[in-house]
Amino acid sequence: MAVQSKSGRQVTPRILLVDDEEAILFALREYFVPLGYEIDCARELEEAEALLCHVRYDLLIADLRLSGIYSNEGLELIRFARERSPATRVVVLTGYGSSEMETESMSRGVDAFLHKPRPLAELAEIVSALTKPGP
Amino acid sequence: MPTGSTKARAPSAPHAREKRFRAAIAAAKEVEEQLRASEERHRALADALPDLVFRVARDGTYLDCRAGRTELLLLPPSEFLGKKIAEVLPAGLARDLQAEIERALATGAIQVLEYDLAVDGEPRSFEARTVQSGANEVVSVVRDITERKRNDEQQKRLQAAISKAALEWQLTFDAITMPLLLLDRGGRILRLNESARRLCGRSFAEVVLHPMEVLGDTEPWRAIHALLDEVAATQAPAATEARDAQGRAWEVQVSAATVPEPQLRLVAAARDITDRIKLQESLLRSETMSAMGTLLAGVAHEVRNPLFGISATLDAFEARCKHRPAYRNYFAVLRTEVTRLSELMRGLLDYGKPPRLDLAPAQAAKLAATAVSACAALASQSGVEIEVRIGAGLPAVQVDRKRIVQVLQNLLENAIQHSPPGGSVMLRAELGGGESLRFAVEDSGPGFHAADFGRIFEPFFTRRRGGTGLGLSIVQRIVEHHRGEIAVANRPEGGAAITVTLPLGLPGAGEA
Repeated sequence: MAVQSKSGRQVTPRILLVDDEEAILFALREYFVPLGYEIDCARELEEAEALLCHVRYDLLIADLRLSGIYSNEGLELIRFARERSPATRVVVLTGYGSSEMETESMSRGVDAFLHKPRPLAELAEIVSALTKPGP
Repeated sequence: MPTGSTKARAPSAPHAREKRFRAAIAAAKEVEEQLRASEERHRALADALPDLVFRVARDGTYLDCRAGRTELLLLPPSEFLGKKIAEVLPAGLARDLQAEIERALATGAIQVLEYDLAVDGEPRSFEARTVQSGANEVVSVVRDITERKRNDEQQKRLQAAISKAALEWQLTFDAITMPLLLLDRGGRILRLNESARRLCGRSFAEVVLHPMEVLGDTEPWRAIHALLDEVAATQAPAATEARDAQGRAWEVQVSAATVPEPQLRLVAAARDITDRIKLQESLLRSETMSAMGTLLAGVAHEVRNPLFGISATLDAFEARCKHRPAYRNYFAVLRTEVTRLSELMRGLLDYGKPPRLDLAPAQAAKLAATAVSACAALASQSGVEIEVRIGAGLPAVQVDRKRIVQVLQNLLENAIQHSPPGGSVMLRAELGGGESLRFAVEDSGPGFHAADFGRIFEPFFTRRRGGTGLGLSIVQRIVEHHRGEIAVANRPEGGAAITVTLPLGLPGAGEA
C-alpha cells in the first residue's frame, strides 16, 4: 500500500514484525506484502532492537513473549522503540493477553493491544489506519 | 248385697266370730310388727348411709338430723336442732339452701345443690339433694363429694396435660422444616408434617390412610417409597439421595419405629441438601480451579500461537487464491474448524481466568441492554425474540461490568440456541431478597433433562451439537467470583429458567 507523503512522493509503509513463531511471521508477510507494505521480520529482542536502530519503521507489530513462557521481552522492546524511534507506531499482538499486561502496555504508549488469534482482515484495517500519514 | 248373706249365717256359729276376732288381732299384730321392722330397717338404712340427712322446716329450722359421718357436722345436733340454717351456716350458703327448700316445696321435685364448706378448717365439697317430705318440711340428704371432685379435677388436669402434650408434639412435628412422614408397615400415610404437606400440596385429610402413591411420582416421595419395603422387612434405617425436577437435592432417610410388630411404624424424613451440595461443589471447584486455571491458561496460550499461525496462513492463502473456485470448499472447512478451535480457546481462557474483579457500580438496565445487543444478531438469525423486563427503581449493583455482561450474554445465547424458531427468550431483572439483584433468563425450549441438573455447569458438558460446553461453566465461575448464586430450573409452563442472584454490594470481593 503505497501512500502519498507530505512531499507528494509515493512511500511504502514499512513494518517490523517481531514474533518467535515462524508460521506467524510467514503468514503476516504473505498477507501484508501483496497489500503494499514492506515487511521486516525479527525473532528475538536483540535482532529487533538492532533493526530499530538502523531502519525507520512506520509500525512495529510485536508479541510480548519472545522466548519462554514467562518472558516479557515485548515490554522491553516497546520501551526501546518508544525511546529510539518515537515516530514508530506500536501494535502488540499476543496470545498472552492478561488485563495487567494490556494496562502495562497501554501505559507505555502502545497504539493497539490485540489478541491472537485474530482475522488478518481486522489486523489489516488497524495497520492501515496506523500507517496513514498524519495530518 | 253380700253383707245380707253373711248376716243369715252368723247366728248359727258364735265360736266362729271369736275365731275371726282372734285372727284379726293376730293380723293387726303382724302388721304392727311389720311396721316396726320396716321402721327399724329404714332407721338402719338411714344410719348406714355415709350421708347427712336433715329434716328442715319451710322456714329453715332444723327439725331432725341423722349423720352417717358425724365428723362432717359443723356442730353436734344438740347445738343446731331447732335453730335456723342462717344461724348455723355461712350467710351465702344459707341463702342458697333456703332457696332450694322453697323450690323443693314449690315444685315437688328434687333440688340438687353443690357447695364448698370448710369443716374443721379443711375445705370440703358437698352435694345437697332436697326433697319435699311434708306440707311444710323437706328432707335434705347431704353427701361429701370432696373425693369425687378432687378426682374430677385431677382427670381434667390430666386431660389438659395430654392435650397440651399432643399439641406440643404437633407443633414440634410441624416446626421441623424437613418434610416428615409417619407410615404404617403397608406404606399408608398416618401423619405428615406441615413441610411435607406444603411440598406435596395436599392437606392431611386428603392423604391420611392413603398409600404413599397419593403424594405423586416425584422426588423425594419416590425415593422414600423405594426404601419402605426394605426398612419394613429389616427394621434397619436406610438412606438415599435424589434430585427433583426443580434441581433440588434431597437426602432421604427411612427408619422403623420400635413398637410391637403389628403396629410397626415407618418414619421417613427428606432433607433438602441443595445448599450443602452446592457449597461442597463450590469448595471443590475453587480448590481445583486455582490449579486448573493455571494449567488451562498455559495450555490455551500455547495453543493460541500455533492456532494463529494456522488462521493467519489461511487468511494469507485465501487472500491470494480466493478467486479460484476449486479451493473454496477447502477454505470453508478450514475456516469453520479454526473458528471452532478459537472459540474453545477463548472459552477455556475465560473459564480459567483468575477471580479478580474490576468492581464498579452498574445499572441492571444497562448491563441487560449491552448483553442483549451483543446477542441481537444470533437472535434474529435464529428467529427468536428477546424480551427484556427490568423492575422499576432497581438500585445499582457493585459488579465487574464486563464479566456480568458476559454472564448475561452467555445465558441469552444459550437460551436462544435452545429455543425453537419463532420462540422467545425473556431476560428479567428484579430486586432479590436480602440486598440482592436477580437476573433471570427464561427460554421457550424443551427445558433441562432431570438427569442433567447435576452436570449443567460441568465444563464440556453440552447437549447442543457444536457447543463447547463451557458457556454455563464460565457463567457459574463469574457468578461465584461475585459471591452470587446461580440456579437452574424448568418452568412449570415449559422451558428452562436460569436465575443469577448477585449481592448489591460486594465487600472485599476483589481479593476473592
